[in-house]
Amino acid sequence: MASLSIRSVSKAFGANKVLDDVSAEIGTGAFVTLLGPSGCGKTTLLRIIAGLVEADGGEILMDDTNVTRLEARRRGIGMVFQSHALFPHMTVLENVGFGLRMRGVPRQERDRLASEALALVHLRDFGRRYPQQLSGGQQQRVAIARAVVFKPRVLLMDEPFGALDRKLREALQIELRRMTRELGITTIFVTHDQGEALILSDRIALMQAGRLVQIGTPAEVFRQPQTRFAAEFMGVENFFAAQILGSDADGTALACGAARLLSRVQAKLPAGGGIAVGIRAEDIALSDDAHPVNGTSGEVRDVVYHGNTWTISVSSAMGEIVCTTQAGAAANPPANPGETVQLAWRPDAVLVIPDP
Amino acid sequence: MARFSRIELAALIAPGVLIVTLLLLAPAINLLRFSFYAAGSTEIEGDAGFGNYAALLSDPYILRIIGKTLLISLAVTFLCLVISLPISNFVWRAPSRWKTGLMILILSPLLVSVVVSSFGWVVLLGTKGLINNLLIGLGIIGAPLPLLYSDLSLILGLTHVLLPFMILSLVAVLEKIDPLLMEAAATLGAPSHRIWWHVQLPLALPGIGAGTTIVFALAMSSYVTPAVLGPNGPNFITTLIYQYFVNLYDWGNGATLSVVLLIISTAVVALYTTLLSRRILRSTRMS
Ligand SMILES: Nc1ncnc2c1ncn2[C@@H]1O[C@H](COP(=O)(O)OP(=O)(O)OP(=O)(O)O)[C@@H](O)[C@H]1O
Ligand SMILES: [Mg+2]
Repeated sequence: MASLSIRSVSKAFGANKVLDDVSAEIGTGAFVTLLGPSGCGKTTLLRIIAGLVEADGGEILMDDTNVTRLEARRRGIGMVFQSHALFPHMTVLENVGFGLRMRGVPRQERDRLASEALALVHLRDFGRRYPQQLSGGQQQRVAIARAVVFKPRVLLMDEPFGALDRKLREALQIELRRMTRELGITTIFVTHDQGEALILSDRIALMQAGRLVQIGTPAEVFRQPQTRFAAEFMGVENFFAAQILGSDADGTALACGAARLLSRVQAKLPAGGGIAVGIRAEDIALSDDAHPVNGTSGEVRDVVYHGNTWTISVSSAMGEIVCTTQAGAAANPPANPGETVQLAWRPDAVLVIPDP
Repeated sequence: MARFSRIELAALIAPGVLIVTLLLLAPAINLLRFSFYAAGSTEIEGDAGFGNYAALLSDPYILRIIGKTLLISLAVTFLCLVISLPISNFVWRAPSRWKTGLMILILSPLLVSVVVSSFGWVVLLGTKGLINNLLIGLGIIGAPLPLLYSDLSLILGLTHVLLPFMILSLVAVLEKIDPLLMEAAATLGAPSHRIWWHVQLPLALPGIGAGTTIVFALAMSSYVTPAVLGPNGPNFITTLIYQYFVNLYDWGNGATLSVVLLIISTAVVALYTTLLSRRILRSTRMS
């Protein structure tokens, strides 16, 4: 119910620069996931948006109102803390109802709304328990219910699904997405899980060492990572240094050592520039074609079984290449160590990374 | 670490147990024995049965002093609590590099002998003391106020020496509260006084319980401060006990009053902790 502008926010703890000129515009009702390695400043950014930490520089705007100096309690932001921060002396129902209580909602109405919120996170019958009587995942869900029950304008969630098993996680992802859409709550969701980010978000923001390195739709971030870090974080395993030979409407021709590659991506970069290409392991296949458009051959080093897939490491002229192939019902490995194999990939699998 | 057999462990614990028994339990039992001596007698021949108890507890003069001791101890406990709440809060929120200094400051009343700090109040509150001189000098009052040797000076003196125990108990429990809880309450819309009331205070209950219990028990059994700062004559159960033992050489009644003091303190503390414990249990069920 509010748009959020983060403008040139920076923060240092002593000499440790934790946030460095972070800016983002988040539209009303948008769902943004914040992805980044541990210690890159995600929690700090959320705390600044919530008003719990003062930034050294920059501004936070909600619906074009500058809230940089506004107290946390007046911002109307729901926050799910990484460590839950449930009140140990209150029952689950009292915990969830706390925000409503502070807003003067009468007891009965409060309990009704809190019960509804608990039902949303599949904890309908847990209202009378104390937080210490719940499992980690249950506590996490109570924290979510507590943050959404008063219909905040902005919802900040710091790895809220970390302790949940996959089934519950997926159920809650759908529930959360539905709820924030219905209520139009602008959400920032921190996660380490790129799969979760892809499913949930309108946009993904990738963070590295206190900087936002890329922000875009899931497809953009997945198909067009702008830096090697972004590509790695989005699950790209194979990287090669390359030179742009030329680019036209069909795509880009690249030289990767002696090998020639064709990419569907139009590199908006001058010919001759040094870039990197990235190829996902699952986009590389073993091929019978001796001269594919894109491909190379090499000697199999290692074959690992993953249940659904095989991971094959190949030592080729382009360097070490990892590829995964569907295992299907076959119990036999698709190749054996020492064997020479031909690898091939489609032009649209070749990601052009401008900033290696 | 070396492991000990049961016998070795028993042997190791034995000296401690022996000392505690000899130094604490034996005198207490002896005191109980004395309390059945007839008034004025130090011999077992003068066995009074429960006579001392019956006589003392039906004497309005004695009952008044016991009542006053209770009231003053409660007042001191309450005063200590009220003063300690903001101070402990301040210490808790202070930057950590200040904390050592602040703690030394808070402990300072304990570093000075109670006798000395009590006489400090004499200097302040006496008829020719600082406060009276100041008030007279300013023309606010004509004649000096009888501040010293009153219930007021007694309460002030006791509060002064017992305050550190309360503050320490509170700081100890506040330090254990997760600061994220306050922040969570703030994001949920709570202004700071409601954070204090709904989050901080309930979580500090164990410390409040411990602090008030310690202060109350110490106040009830304090002797020096009532003797130096209290109204003239026996004004506190402890000064009364002293009078029986030392001035009247009446061990029977002295011992009886000591036992009564012990029973009252224990009873009040036991009742209080029982009442508090349910709430405390709730607020400390930390996982
Ligand atoms: N109060 C603080 N004082 C000093 N340094 C801090 C403080 N809070 C965070 N930091 C530092 O700031 C950096 C970023 O911390 P932050 O908690 O924002 O990381 P994060 O991205 O949330 O990591 P994670 O994924 O592990 O939760 C870290 O190097 C951390 O040590
Ligand atoms: Mg974090």
